Amino acid sequence: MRARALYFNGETSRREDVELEFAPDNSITLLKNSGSRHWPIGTYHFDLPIGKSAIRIRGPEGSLVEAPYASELYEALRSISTKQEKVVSALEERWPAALGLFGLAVLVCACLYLYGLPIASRTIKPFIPFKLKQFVGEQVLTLYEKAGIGQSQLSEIQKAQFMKAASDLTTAAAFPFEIEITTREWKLHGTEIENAFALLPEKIVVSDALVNHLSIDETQAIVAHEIGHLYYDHGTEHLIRSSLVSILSIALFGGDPGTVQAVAFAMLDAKYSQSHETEADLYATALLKKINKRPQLLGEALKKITADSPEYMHEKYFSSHPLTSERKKRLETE
Amino acid sequence: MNNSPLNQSPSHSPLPETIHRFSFTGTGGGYFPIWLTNLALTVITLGIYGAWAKVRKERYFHEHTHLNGSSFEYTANPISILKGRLIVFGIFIIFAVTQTIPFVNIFVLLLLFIAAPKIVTQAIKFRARYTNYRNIPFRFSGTYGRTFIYFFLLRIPAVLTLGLLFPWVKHAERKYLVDNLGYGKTNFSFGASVKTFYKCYLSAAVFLLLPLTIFILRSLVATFFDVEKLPGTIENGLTPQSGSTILELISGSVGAIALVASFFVVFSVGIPLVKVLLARATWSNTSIGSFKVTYNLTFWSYVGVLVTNILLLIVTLGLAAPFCMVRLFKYKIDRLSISGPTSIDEFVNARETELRAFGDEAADVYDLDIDFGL
Repeated sequence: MRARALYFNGETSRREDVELEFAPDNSITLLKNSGSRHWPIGTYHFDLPIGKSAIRIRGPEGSLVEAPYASELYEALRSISTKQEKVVSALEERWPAALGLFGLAVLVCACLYLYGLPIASRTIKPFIPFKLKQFVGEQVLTLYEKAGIGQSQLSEIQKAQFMKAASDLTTAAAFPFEIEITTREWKLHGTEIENAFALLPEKIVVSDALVNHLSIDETQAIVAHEIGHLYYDHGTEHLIRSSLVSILSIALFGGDPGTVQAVAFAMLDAKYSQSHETEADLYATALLKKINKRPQLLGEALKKITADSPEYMHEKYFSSHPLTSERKKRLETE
Repeated sequence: MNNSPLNQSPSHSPLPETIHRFSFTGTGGGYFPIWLTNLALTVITLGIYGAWAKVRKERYFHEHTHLNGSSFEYTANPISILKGRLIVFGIFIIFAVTQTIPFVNIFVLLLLFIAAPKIVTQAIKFRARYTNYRNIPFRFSGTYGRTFIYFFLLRIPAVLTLGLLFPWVKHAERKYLVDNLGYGKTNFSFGASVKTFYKCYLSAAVFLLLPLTIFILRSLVATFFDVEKLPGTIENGLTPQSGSTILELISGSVGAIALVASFFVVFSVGIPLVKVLLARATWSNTSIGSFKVTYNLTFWSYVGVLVTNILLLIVTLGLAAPFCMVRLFKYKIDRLSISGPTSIDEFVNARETELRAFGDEAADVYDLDIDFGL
């Protein structure tokens, strides 16, 4: 087959009109005014054009032939191109094929989301040294201290009551290491925060406001929930997962995730976080039963803490915790 | 450097000028399956295919850009891009891991600061060297030291003068970038004056300074008027209550909304306006040998393309991205032309030894999305 083409010698930008002949033995002959050139197969190379752009063939002496897209020449070159190029160009040329591949990619993402990340984080978890976890925990606590967590202002009697309740729980939990449970004053813009959190790998912090608001049994239920987080080592899992997600994000989007990706990652994080909360809730009910306390105490405590804040449906998907109403319902059936 | 007619100044030429317009023949429909395949394969291979995806994307846009009967070419090797990305990835990991370790984090930050000009220089070289037209590559002859001065060091006086020197810095940066670009043996030449750059920023100042103006106005109202006690006056048409209400609104919720809206104005109008004006000032004052570049970008049509693209992306949840990319690229390319007295056939390629003299040594692994200000 023959096609009209432009020839560039690589020394100047001068173009020369040529005729390109593609022979059945896959050799190329260029018919120029100044004579002809013969390129046997293996002496020239090419990349298949993208989106019906011009066909480019590089010759042995650094020259270039540029021919307008022609299906016959394209098919001839396609037949001798690499397998990888054939597959990719076949996908790119057909919308249904590209859409099918996209569907497969969505499936891969779903599998990674549902199985890959949890399996990977659980596999890596045992290899994280205890000292590293302690370091991370201390760093996070320092950040909290900068954000307004100070020394506890509770009375000595309150502190003693709290420590007794906490000690009952830790004895029942029987951890191989000592759990450090403290109360701290926690203010944000002058407002007292009612909250408690577990830090890697053995710390639990309860705010003064929470102790003041709840009965000692209810406070104990909240601490039992936080011990649940330590028992399952959720903090380490979260650390590994967010690191993996960050690495994946950089690999896929070059470290610049747009809004859609940011929302997807927020939902992803919320899903795992909510499952951790449910796991910790169930652990807490078992621990409360072990020290002969009502497991419903946890649900009652949660209701008391969130009494003033309305629930919105979107929190079900984006919040780090499941809806309190759902948690309470689940805990009542335990 | 050489006596080719291409290196003569355009003003000295007695020959009639020929205008050569750029054109882009890509379509959203044509690019969509390529974009989809790139995205899917990048996800499936956990990002590794990203380097190949980048090459295919660049090839699509380059190969559909035409000038005088020939199209452009992107010849980068995906493996080189992958290596570059792995280096950047490694730097990120080291940075992330050492972030919480005192002294080590400062040391790593310092190393990054030292390495940044090298990465930027090599990235520009990489992009230029693997862009071909008529089998002749472009080149960039910048050096580490000069990139450090123009892209990093000059930012210090710009900050110290509260931005007053920023147009001058931007001018110096663009001059450095353009003057060091070349096509074969022919050099690019930047002819825009500093005054032009100041004019660009002044034209957009009314939009860019809107948040600051509103902030100052709100602060003044809150500081100098006791809005709760201030009565309105009958003379200026205000009832006793309405005067204080207006001032209350300025210092209160309306002022706050205006402040947020002003940032929207900055991002949707102010910044695109500066971008358009700078691009026009840069490229319409650039010559390539005896060819003069013209870039007829107009602000409202550019903003029109940007705004409709944003709306399309919102409505289609991002699926219109390839159509929007093609639309914006076509809009820009179709407004670009070069004119000169000689034929485009006369450019001469540089030999390897000459390339080394230009400072264009191998730039094989670095690849960043460097904006040439188009």
